[in-house]
Amino acid sequence: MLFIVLFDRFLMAFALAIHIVLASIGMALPVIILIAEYLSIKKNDNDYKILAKRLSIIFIVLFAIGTASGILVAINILVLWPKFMALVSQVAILPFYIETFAFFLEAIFIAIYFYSWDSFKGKYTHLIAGIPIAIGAALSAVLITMINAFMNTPNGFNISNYLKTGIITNVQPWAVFFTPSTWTEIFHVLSSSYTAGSLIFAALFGYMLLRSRDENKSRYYKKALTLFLMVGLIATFFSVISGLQSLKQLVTIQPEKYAAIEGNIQSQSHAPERIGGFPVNGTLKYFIPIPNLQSILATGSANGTVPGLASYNESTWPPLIVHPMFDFMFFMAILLGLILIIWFVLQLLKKNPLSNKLMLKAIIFAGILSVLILEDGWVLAELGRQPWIIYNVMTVSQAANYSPSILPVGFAILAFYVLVIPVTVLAIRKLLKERPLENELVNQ
Amino acid sequence: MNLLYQLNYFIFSAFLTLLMLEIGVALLALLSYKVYTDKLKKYILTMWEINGTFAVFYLVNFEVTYPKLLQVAGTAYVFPALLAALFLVVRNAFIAYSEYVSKPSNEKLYIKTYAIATLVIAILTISILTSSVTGTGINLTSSSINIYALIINPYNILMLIAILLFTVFMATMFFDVIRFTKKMYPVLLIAFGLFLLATYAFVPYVFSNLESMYYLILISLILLGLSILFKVRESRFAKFMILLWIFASINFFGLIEYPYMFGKGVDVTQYMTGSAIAGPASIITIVGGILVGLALLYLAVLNSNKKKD
Repeated sequence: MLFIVLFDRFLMAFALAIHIVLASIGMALPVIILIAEYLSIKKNDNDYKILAKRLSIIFIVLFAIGTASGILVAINILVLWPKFMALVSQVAILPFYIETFAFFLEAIFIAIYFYSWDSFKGKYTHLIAGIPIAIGAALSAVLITMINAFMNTPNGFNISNYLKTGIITNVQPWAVFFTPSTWTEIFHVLSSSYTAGSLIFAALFGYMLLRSRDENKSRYYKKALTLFLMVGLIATFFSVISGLQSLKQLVTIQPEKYAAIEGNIQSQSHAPERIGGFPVNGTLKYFIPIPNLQSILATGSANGTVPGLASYNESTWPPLIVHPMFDFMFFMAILLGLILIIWFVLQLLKKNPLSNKLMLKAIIFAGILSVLILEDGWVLAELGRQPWIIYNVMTVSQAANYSPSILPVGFAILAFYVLVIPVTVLAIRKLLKERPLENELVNQ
Repeated sequence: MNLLYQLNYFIFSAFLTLLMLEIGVALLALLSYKVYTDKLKKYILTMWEINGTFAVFYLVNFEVTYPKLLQVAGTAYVFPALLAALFLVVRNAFIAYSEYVSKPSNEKLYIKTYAIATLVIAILTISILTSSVTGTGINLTSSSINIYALIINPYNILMLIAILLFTVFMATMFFDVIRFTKKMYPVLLIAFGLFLLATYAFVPYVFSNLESMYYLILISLILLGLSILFKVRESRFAKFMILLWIFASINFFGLIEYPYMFGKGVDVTQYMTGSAIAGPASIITIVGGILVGLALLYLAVLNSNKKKD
């Protein structure tokens, strides 16, 4: 039984880890494509038009895989956690439901936008037809995040009665849109997804620019890279702000998660910020304390008390591994921010940073960092809620599907994901190779 | 009859109609690749994603409508549902690859792979659906299934053959890639015969309801007759009429089956969502459905204008 629950968890985590990257690309890419098309019209610059069209090919293929992976995740949620889904369906299903319409919006306008290049008469009509794609993608993320916020801060029904009797009463279906964590979480998910989605492509274009020996191609790559980096920089700025806001909010809404992230065993005032360190036998060891800083950051005062795990039943403690995971995320985010700021300052000073090989290598590194931060952040958020699937309402073990029939198809899914992602990358490469960039640039 | 049930079945009918049309495309592409011409290509490249979205729409609407059935259905159908989802990734990947490939031989390979994946999804989906009608292969008490019994049972096999024949007929009527000849009538008759035989033999209560709701059969036959009439007269309405016929017929089956599922093992009214969710869900379905309908109409108009250009 335990093995099956572990397998359920692993399968879900694996599917989500892949889907999150695809979803982030699916959110960022339409925005970049639209900006590129806008610039191509505004500046009458064919490079941007070529960029928009070539990115569209990548988008369509990744969208195909991404939506299938999204459906797989949706089915995974239903079949791996049927009891969880039964509760959500009776209390908090509306965001899930409205999300299907956001998905429709995206799918229909993809059919309109991508198969109608040059067939609209108005200068901006085609561009406008693409806006719903970006809106649909963002809206999907917003609505799905609402369900995650519900898992962290459940509301909209009589929880105490449910815990006593198992019966769901006093359902308020719209409450799920306004849980205490909803809007902070949405802000953070959107900004971090745009960060990763754009910086993955910044890394790709950085790599191609690094290898390019052709003047036309280099010019094209630089324009593309600047676009992705600008979006990435703005998104990173908001991601940092929203991340700090999220952490601060945990003190009140999920104190166990906060305590585990900070490595607090006892509640205390004048709490130090613990930099580094690892969990050893249920406590944090080998860290560097910065006196009072945690209390100041969390409460605004050194006298402020921050929660500790000892105030809660040990069976509901999240694993302390979330502390080093948080540190890892934090330092990677600082590094990422530094790379982007250096690029931006050099760009402002007209130092032509994209001609510098070291800068390009740093940008490639930033792209890798953005994915690591995204994954680390999600794992941290989910591990920090353990053992709950719905905080203080339902544990993961209570929600799990114990049917052994999951195993064969689960392994097939794992094997398939391992196969499908590299095949897709190769397919995109092949499809783009069949349309040599140099020909398109020469023919403009 | 319950509004939520009707809305759910309405969405299901739209989903199954589009799925059947896609099965038709997949079958034609597999059986005779030379008919996979621009007409089929244009349709499938525009619609593949929308069809997938309809599947999600139905799934989520099912979750909204029957939350108390989720634990049973979710646990029992885990294997075929995940397997179908797996093939959905193959379907999506290969149709997307085929779109931008320039070598014809590669395109053929991609399209055939897409078609096989689509057919596997269709077989799994139809098997799940038929088992939800008869209850064959599923144990509701233990929330488990026997996958072999679920797929290899006479009702499912008869229905699979009937549906595949219907899809060939539908695709012929809809796409104009094969000349519509009198040879199509036996196909249609056999499909009808298999459907009636399967229903009579394996879900007698549905067949009894069918007798008392004979007018639904009449309406269905009239719609079919009109479709053929329009087709013979080469009217462009034939396409829409054939879709309407399939959509209406599936919907009628829902009216006849109501309120049971799993061979009378489940009375769906006992598993429906509470009133708090029912109201907002119905409003969202109706408003969202109208918006989606309008967007699809815009897409259809745009495509038809492109053809004229």
